[in-house]
Order: sequence, then structure tokens, then C-alpha cells
Amino acid sequence: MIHFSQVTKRYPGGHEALSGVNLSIEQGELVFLTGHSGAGKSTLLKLIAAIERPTSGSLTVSGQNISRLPSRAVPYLRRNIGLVFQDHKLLFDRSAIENVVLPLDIAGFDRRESLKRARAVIDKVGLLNREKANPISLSGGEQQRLCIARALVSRPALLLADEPTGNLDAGYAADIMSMFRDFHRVGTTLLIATHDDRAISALGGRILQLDHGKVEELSA
Amino acid sequence: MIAWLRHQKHALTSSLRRLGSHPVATLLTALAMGVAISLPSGLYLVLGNLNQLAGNLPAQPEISVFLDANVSNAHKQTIAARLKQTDIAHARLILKDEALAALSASQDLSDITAGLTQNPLPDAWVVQPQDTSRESLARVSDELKQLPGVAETHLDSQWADRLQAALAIGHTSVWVLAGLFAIALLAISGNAIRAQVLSRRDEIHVSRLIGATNHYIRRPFLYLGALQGLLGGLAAGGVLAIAGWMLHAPVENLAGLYGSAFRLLPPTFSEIALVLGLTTLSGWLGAWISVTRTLGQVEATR
Repeated sequence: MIHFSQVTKRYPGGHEALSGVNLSIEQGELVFLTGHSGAGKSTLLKLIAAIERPTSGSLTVSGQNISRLPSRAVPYLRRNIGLVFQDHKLLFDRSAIENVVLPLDIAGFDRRESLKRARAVIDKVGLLNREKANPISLSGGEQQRLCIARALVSRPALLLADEPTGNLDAGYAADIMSMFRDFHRVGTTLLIATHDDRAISALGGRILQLDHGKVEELSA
Repeated sequence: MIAWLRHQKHALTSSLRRLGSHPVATLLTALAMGVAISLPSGLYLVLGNLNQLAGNLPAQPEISVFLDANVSNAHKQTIAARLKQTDIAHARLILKDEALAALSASQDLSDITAGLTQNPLPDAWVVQPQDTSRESLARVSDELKQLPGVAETHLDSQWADRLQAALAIGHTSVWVLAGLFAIALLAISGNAIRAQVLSRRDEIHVSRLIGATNHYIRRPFLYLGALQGLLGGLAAGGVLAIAGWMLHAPVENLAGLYGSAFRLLPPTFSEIALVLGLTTLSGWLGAWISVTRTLGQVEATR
């Protein structure tokens, strides 16, 4: 599903975030990406979602070559990828359910059908009684769950999560991770960047360690 | 196709909601646009009314040919024959008795005409030449003056020419003003949209990350610009309606003093539709320019 071949990402100014990365992730895998901050975890995720483009090398996601993907094709690639952010990136000018409905609005779904699906996925993350609330009134853990609901509402085949538990205390973090395990069980491919070792050991799965722009495979 | 329609509807409703949620800002922008638009449209209406005034007068230049008081019948016939030639479009004989009767009837000159012991007016032809260019008129006028039995010829077109020339300048100024204020409109709309884009940069950023196309991001702003233009046009209509209402009584009073039935003409339906269409288009265009520029800036900062 994701293939990196000799992928290098150098930022303007000369900092090399990834150096000659070779990596393959198959459909349905659960993969953790670890490493100290600044090791290139976020860059790797951004490359997959075409938020950044590789400086050299070849990267294919779902059969599409990211290096050569025209910018007008990028939105359609992203509609098949769920993104979970450490800072949630929720919109505080609308209710929780309106946040979750946004990807379906963008994809042009029927409004009533969209609301039904949004409600179902909000129920799945345990926020059904808060659907009308403004996200700013939710706790950190609830905001993260809402962010996950938004990432999953369009039923993407691939979910990318960047430090999803980074700002949460242990109880909330375990909550989120068990949610990810459920998604993995129904066949979603997950790539989770984290330095939360407890979460990794609880879920199992493949572990990739990034160090100074190089990827190293660790045994689970 | 259905998704496209849904996107249009979604963009329109979200734009309407946004306008409604900032009523004061919406009103102020509409008012600024309305005042800007009302200047050229107001001038246009004034010119239309002046045209109406000028329209009661002969637009076609005419030559008045006055005959000698004691012109012979033979000469009369020569003149009539000359006026049947092909370079004359139309010629009408006004006998001196008719002229006096018309004079007594028309303006309040009956007191004067009643005091006359004999008719001082000559017989006259009113002639419209085929070719109404200035040189041709002068040539025909001179030629008719040489005919025996003609006392004098008079070109009536001069003042009508001047009025037409003045109105032509007025019309040109309307277009120049309209052009200038269209630019002002673009600037007002663009500025309002720029503020909107900046205030929604988070939404734009998040929408991009979850697969929004360029069209999806721009569309609500374009609708917003068009709606704002439309509101501006309506505001201009309001400004002009108030001005017309205030001028109505004084104009009627003045016209009454001149014994004229002149009244202010309101704009026609198609003129109103045209102005609203143009302001909507300008609002849309201003939004388009602004969104293109501002989106570039917003996304460059990420």
C-alpha cells in the first residue's frame, strides 16, 4: 500500500529530515513509528499524505506516485487517508458533529446521509451525547476522539496518526489506543507515530524506529 | 453533477449564514458599494431625464425658409419645385395665417397677437434635407437663399446640436464614472473578502488536509462576493430612490413654473436588472481576485 524507495526529504536551508528511506507497508498492517522528536516521524507522515513532496526517490501510496502527483489530484488522494493530529486541528466555530461532517461535505455527500454517518462514527468514539457541543468545551481526550471520528468518517483505507496521545494522560491514551486496535481489526491500515512505549507494547504490531532520517526495523 | 449542485448549495447557504452573522459589517460594505454605484447610475438617470426634455424638440436639423412678403406666384412655384428635388427629405409649407394662429394658440402671446392690425409673419417652408451633415445643411441653406422670392433662410439645428453634444459628453462621463466606480467596487469587495479569507485560515487549512479541492475552498468566498455586490446594488437602488423621492416635489414645482408637464422618470426594469447584474458580477470578480491572492499568502505561511 505504501512504498518508499530511496526517499530523501531535504528542507530549504539544508536540514535533511529523511535520508534514503526504504520501506514497505502492506494493506491491513498496524505500524508504529518511533524515535526522538525531530527524527523525521512527522515528515514521513506528511510525505504519505502529500503535504510535503520528496526531494528525491520514489514514493507510491495506493499505487499513486506521490513525487509526480499533480496538485489537482492531491485532494482525491487525501480523501482516502484519515489524518489524526497531535493538536487535533478542530474548528471551534462549529459544533462537534459539524466538524465530523466536514470531510463528507467536501466529498459532496448528501447532507442527511452525511449526518447519519457522522453520528454513527461519533457514537463509535463515545461522544454521542456531546455531538452538539462546541469542541472547545471538550476535554483533551474528547477532542482527540473527535479528531479520530473526523478522520474515520469517510471510511479511509489508511489512517495516519501523528502523536495521537502526545498531550493525553495515561488513561485517555490507553482509551485511544484501544480504539485504534478496533480499527485495525476491521482492516484499516494504521501508521501511528508515537513515543509512547506503553501503547506500543499494549497493541503489538510492527515497529519502525527513525533515527537521524534513517529507518530501522525493530522486532515487536 | 449532483455532488456539484450540492457543493453550490452548500457554498451559497454558508455564505448567506456568514453575511447574516455579521450584519453590521455586511451593511457597511453594502452601503459603501451602494454610494459608489449610485453616483454613475444617478448621473445616468439625470441624463435620461434631460434626454426626455430634449426629445420634445426637433432632433432632426431643419432649415426654415422665409419668403418675401410680396412674393409672386411664379416664384412660389419655382421654390416648391426646387424643394421636390431628391436632396430634400421633407418640406412643409406654413402659410402666414397658420403661423399666426399657431402663435396665438401656443404660448401666452395671444395678447400681443390680438393687438396686431395685420399679420407681420411671412409664409415659410420648413425643410429637412436628405443629408444632415453640417456642410450639406449649410450648402442647401445657401442655395435656397439664392432663389428669387426667398427673403432669408435659417438653420434651426445649432442649439439642438449643442444640446446633443453636451448630452454626448454626459454619456461619456457616465461610462468613465461607471468604469472608475467599478474599480472601486472591486476594491471594496476584494478587501471585504480578504478579511474573510484571513479570518477563516484555520478552516481553509483543515479543509485542505482532508481533501478539499481549490474549487471547494474558493466557492463560498466567490458567492460571498457576488452576494455582497448584489446587496451593494440594492443599496444603490435605495440611495437613488430616496434621492428621487426628495427631488420629486421640487422638480415638479419647477416644471410647473415653466408650464411644462415634465416629470422625473424612474429607471426601467431592465436598467435596474442591468445594474444589479453588473454589481453582482463586480463583487464576484473582486472576490475572485482577492481569494486568488490571499489564498496564496495564507498557504505560503504554512
